[in-house]
Amino acid sequence: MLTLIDSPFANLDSIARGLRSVGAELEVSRDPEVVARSRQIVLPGVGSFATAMNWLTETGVADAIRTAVDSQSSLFGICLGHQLLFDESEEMGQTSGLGLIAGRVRRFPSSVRVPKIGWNQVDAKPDFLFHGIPDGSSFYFVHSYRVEGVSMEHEVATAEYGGRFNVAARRENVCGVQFHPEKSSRAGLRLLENFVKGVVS
Amino acid sequence: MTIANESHSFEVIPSIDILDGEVVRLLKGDYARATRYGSAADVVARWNAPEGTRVHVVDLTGAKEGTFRLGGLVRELSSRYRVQVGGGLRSVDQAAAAIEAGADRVVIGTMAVVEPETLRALAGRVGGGRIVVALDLLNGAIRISGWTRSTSLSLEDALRQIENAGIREVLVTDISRDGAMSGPSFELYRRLSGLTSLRIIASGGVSRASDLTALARGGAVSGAIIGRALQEGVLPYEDAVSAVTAHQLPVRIVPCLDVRGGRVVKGTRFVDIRDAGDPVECVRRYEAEGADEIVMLDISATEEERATSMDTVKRIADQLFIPLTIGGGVRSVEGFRSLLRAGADRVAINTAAVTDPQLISRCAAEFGVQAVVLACDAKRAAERWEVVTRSGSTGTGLDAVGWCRRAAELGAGEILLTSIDGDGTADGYDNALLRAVTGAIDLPVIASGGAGRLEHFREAIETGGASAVLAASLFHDLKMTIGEVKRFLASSGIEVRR
Repeated sequence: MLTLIDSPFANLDSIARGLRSVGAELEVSRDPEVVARSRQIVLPGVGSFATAMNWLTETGVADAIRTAVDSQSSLFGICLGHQLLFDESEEMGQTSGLGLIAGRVRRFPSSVRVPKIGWNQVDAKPDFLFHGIPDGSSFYFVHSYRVEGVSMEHEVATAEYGGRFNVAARRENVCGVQFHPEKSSRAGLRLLENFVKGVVS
Repeated sequence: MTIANESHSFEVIPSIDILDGEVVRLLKGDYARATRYGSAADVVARWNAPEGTRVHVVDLTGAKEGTFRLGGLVRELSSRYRVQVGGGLRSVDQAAAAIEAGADRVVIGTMAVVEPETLRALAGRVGGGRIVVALDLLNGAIRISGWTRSTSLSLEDALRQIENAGIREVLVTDISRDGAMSGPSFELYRRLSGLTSLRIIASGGVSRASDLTALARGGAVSGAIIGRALQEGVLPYEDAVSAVTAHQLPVRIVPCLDVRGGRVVKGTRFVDIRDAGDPVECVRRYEAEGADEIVMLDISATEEERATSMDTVKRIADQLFIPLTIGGGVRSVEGFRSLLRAGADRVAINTAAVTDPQLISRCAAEFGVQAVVLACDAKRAAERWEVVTRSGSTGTGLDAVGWCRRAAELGAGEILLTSIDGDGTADGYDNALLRAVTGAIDLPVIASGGAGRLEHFREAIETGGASAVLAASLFHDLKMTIGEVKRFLASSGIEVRR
């Protein structure tokens, strides 16, 4: 059973449809006890970092996620959910994230248009998340902030937009992608399937 | 996977036109309509171009009078730049004098066309590599002598004559566009590159960075002259140079479905509506063909039909794994929310935003700018475009460019711009409308209304500056597949998702 975090700041239905279409049995929940016991967790999110992080903290879901990760459950962040995995964000002042992977969330440079809306070619390293996905496939993005300072060890994929930036990262059983796999057609569904069926650690 | 031509070197060539000792710009070649920018030394210094940059200097006085008078200026500039100079160089001696004054290259216009034997003699004296032949074209025909006379020589014959003289580069100006800020003549350059192996330098119409990106990617020309936009500060030299290698997101190909009462319908200019199939089957086919996004416009007339449409959105969203934009009849934040809940990723607002512009800001604040698309239907009206509403039937008196700018300020994340004149005609998008809007705002614009041929998509992107191109019946009737459009655009150097 996979738990999709029932965040009020997410496109839950789209992600649920994507996950179900690749065979996931899922429970949509915001109950910390359910989350803490879950073997697979998907953390979705759209909107502001600070608002979403406050919600995770106040509801106890943040601690539940940490508990699950400590017991080797696998966690997958999507879009804002990906950003929340890192140390901090500068969106609306400095806000701490879950701190599960080292890195900071920064706004795109002013030389490029934000929000960035559209398909972007992604260059991935060999990783179970991108297994079976053709090299240089494009994924659908909607964002104004990006993750910086991810170590080589944790960086899984990058793309080019106002310079090269991180779009997928993994630290053992914790992983995430900046794009929307549930909106990225075949390549995106394959990535969801890889997470659902994959063995992370 | 994204596809694009191999990058090749592309030269940005800043230029000055000199009239009576001053830098000027003529509008459409008219000597009586000149804008003045000051002395050459001052103007060139303001660019901050690196030493060794090729600078294009035109002696407009000389061009009119048939004599070369800029020896002093060439001597001064060539200590720092590679100067190519033209205007009034109509004898071997005059051209050789310009080279002796320090010019890297001479630009030969009239003489190359009317006296091919003199051109050969000049090439023999200074070398073909030091000569650039300037061709001024008005509606595809060659014009000579400061643009004031025409010639009977065909373009093909002129190019052959130039090649035979040992020349390697031509500078081509479409004088029907020059200075008017209506964009470079992308299609003309493509045609020319098919006619000759000469290096082509584009001149005229470059008014923004994206023009240079498109020219460089298109591959037909090996460089471009920038003039007025540079002088007026609209396009600083540094921005022009970085535009050549600028990265752009792939252009999106967006099939559109007009839905009424749960069925896809078709019509021309919003009338003559007829049934055209099941929307779910339709979007599944489009996604499989490589559509980057789907737009569904609900044109229901009754409450009952509208309720059915909501169900249709849910059925589509269940089957679709690319972004879905829904529009039609959205009047409130609640209406917006219910479409997002039903499965839309973005919602387009049209008539209601005209009546209540703050609806844009309320929706942007509630759902984020990325979710808010302003659908603007525009109709040509004399020198501008008027916003029309209620499916094209009602004039608003609003200027379309101004309205799009306002919507951008209020928080729209994208503009879906439909030309009512073009809608359903297959005569091409309204590229002038697109260019006016994309030049006025920094938001992505979806071109809509008029697609009929592959070239239309390319023109909307290159000339119009569109980030996405939308078509309905063209894809629906299988006159063209999305794959065909993508292959064609990719072969034109335009990045698409594959």
